Amino acid sequence: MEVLEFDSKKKELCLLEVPVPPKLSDHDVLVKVAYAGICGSDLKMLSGDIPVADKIILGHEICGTVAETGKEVDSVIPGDRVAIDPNSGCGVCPECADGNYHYCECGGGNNYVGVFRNGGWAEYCVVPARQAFLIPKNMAFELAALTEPLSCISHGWDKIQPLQIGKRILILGAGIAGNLYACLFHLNGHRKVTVCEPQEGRRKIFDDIDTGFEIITPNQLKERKAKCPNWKVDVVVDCSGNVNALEDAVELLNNGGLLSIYGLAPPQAKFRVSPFLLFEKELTINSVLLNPFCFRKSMKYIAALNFRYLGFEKLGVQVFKLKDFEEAIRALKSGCISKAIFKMI
Amino acid sequence: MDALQFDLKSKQLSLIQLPVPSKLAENDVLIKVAYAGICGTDLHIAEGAFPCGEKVVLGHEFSGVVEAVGSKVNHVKPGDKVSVDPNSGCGTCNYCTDSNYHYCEVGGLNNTIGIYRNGGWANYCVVPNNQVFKLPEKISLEQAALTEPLSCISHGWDKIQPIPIGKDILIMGAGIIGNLWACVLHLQGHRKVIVSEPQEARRKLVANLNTGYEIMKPTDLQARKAANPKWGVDLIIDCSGFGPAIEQALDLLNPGGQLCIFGVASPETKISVSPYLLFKKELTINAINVNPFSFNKSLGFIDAMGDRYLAYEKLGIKVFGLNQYEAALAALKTGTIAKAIFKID
Repeated sequence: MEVLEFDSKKKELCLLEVPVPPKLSDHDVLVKVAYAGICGSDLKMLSGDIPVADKIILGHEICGTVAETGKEVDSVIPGDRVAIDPNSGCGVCPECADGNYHYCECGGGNNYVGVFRNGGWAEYCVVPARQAFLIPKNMAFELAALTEPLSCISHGWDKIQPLQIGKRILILGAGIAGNLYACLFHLNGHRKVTVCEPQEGRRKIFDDIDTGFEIITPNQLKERKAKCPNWKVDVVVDCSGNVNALEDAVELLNNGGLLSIYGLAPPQAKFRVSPFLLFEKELTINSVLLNPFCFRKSMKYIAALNFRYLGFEKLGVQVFKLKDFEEAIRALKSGCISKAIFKMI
Repeated sequence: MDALQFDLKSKQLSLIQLPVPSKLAENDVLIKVAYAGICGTDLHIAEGAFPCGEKVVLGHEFSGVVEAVGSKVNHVKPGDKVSVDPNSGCGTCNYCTDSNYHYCEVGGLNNTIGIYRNGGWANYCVVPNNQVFKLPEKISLEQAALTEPLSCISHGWDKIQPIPIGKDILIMGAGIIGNLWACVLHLQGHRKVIVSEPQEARRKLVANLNTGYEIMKPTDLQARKAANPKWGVDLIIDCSGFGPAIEQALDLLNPGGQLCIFGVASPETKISVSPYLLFKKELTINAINVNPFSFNKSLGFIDAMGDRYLAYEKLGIKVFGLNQYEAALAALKTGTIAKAIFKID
């Protein structure tokens, strides 16, 4: 089968022919991959900013069809369409036992499909059955490819609750994460949302989602701050990972405000913040890691959002063949699309 | 009557004679002050580092006996022992009607008794009736002087929930606030608590509370982390307001950990925060501002704690006469006591 293998020592991604995994263990399923997304974190793995296994097939946003099941598997059968949750825990450590399997040191990030075990940038992929979620019959296959990214947003969504309608929200960054957050805000009835994005291409894509949300540049945001010192927001969702944007955003928060950090900053980057300001305005800063217990929620969001919000052309998602990976990565980096997804069928 | 008045222009605190307030508005209560604490905030005010009224009798932590009531006051009567909540809101702005009266721009910090209106460092003080709380039978005037600081801790306690028993907790700073946090945690069954404090005298004071909590120097903490990088805590309550300590604290948190900023840092202090660290460990930073809707809860704590926790000598509280204010401020600054409270006859 065709796969994209990453050699983390050489920092090289290569299209290879390898055999389809021949033998399944009792609790595994073999999935024939239909769609597999390229995530922002994949780009950071390719550049060496996030650690991965030495030689690995990347791809952790996967949906496909069950081709074969291990003999103990009874949750799915061959032919079922499934979306894959790449994350799991060991199930026995204190973190797992407390319901925080995304902190598990054996599972969690360290057993991540497409990061530490072979993932979905391939024709076939082997995953534990409990990480394969049945796709509802009436859901378009391509939308199911968004289950994983939306499950992370869903976890982030839970972490900014309760959030009353009428609160003012600022989203930093209109890549796919900012766009999906905007979709959730709109679906849930929020109308006072401002999105800040430096790249023109992305601002145009954002307009296509047709939420009526205001989209501005970081400079426009600065000008507004200078002109209207009373313009404040209750929640900032950072999808930029940019420390300068974070520093500016903290000062825009209203009393009782919340900064929720979703975007992945480089490990060395730091932002400066005044503890007195945090006290004076009683601010909260939280952060969002992965997608614990959020896969089913994400599928329900997809069913509700559907093509009104998630149509690929609206979201700025472009589909590529596996062999066109260089072009896909280039397009994603340039910002002319918000997401690239490999289509294997 | 005697009163300790602060003059913002000259930054001078002086013991002066003022007439006993003679005319009460219909909703006001005249209180004969019994005990009035000196708060860390008062020290900041006296140094000119915290905003306040131009000429104001300080003192926002006090208990006393009702001397007279306005014509519409019916929940207390002369002779009742009471404690005073110095904070209130306007009742009509968006913050107030959303239950966040501590953010109110008319009330809130900007109308605090003992900061913007004359407070309790005097024989008598006039207070609006909705800020006067009648003491339960069991609570003494002496204990009730702690209602205000404990009400702030109570608000902080509510904001960091849920904290299951068995979580590892670090309190930074063993002034009165750190000590009261230790009491609140111990009362509610927490046993895995470390208190970190640089001053030897204060380490001795917190040991007097007999909670069995481990007490160490900040350098010991760093050494423990260096010896065992896997060692960490789940919750850090900063009562130090010291920038470098707050900054280092983030490295001590376990995944899912929480930093609660309770101590007030100087307005110029900034800390450097790595968003990547926040993301990787999914940390939360929470700041706490004063005591909305927390006065009755605080009285509940005092009722349950009694002298087991709150006896002045256990907490390192020393009592002074109003005319000994210079000695009181000096003792507080040196750290030989955890708190100074005026006893007013």
